[in-house]
Amino acid sequence: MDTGVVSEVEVWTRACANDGRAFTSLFDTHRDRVFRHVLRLVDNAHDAEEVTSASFLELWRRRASVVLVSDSVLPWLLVTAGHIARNVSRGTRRYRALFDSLPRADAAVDAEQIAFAHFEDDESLGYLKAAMKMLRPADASLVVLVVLEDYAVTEAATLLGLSDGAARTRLHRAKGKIRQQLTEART
Amino acid sequence: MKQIDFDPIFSAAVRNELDARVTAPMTHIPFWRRHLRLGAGIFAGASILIGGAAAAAGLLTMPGANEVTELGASVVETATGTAAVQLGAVPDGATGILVSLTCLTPGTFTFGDVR
Repeated sequence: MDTGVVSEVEVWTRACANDGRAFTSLFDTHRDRVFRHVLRLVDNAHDAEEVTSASFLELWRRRASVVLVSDSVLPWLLVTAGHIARNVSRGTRRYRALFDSLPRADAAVDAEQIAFAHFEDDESLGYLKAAMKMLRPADASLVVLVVLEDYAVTEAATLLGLSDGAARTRLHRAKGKIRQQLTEART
Repeated sequence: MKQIDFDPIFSAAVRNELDARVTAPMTHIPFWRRHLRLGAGIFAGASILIGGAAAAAGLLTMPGANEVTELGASVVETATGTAAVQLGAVPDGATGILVSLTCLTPGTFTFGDVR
């Protein structure tokens, strides 16, 4: 029976066949989820917007090697955004000219948002950001996918090219490091 | 806590850019402009500029020389052997590319697709 619901696999397939509407529908679907994730990793909304945008541009540029997890590109986007966020200036360098040429909302509004973000930024979130940056990229990606985004360890391992056992061990150690970092930071 | 939203104007611009890149009619662009297949040899720092013949400030300003205006961002790739250099979407008004190759070690390179 045709339910009329188009799976993301089908949308992704169409996008890879140069269907712009299919690709932009992926942007519409996952933009906010990726943006909220990146906000946990960078210092302001401006950087988060650029990291999020760079992730989607990379999704297209590296479409031949993208791995779908649970029939979705979202895990790939989250991991890629995490890598870019570890060094925003380097990660967005390829698209610097493009981003600088694109229009933005009133700068005063953006500054207000940034000010609010810093003012209301929870102290523990700052500790978490520091702890995440301390982890190796693959370990940080594991924490993001499994702990923060509720993907199964097996799914995250597939995306990161790790064995199931190795992923579980690395995740356990990563959690321990974060726990230790948070404990030390609060004492 | 006040929710921070994605700048809607920036988002729309990025969305348009994605749409343009995905739907770019590849067949209208000569193959060699997008893919420079470089044969044997070791090279590094191949920088490619997309330019047009428009006037204004040019990169080559010697008297009598063509005036070249850079319309797109330069792409720098380091590779050994055969490599495909992705140039992205073609900027409006672009009429050609400028390629610069710097060899790290002795070798040769060929443009097999250029006629």
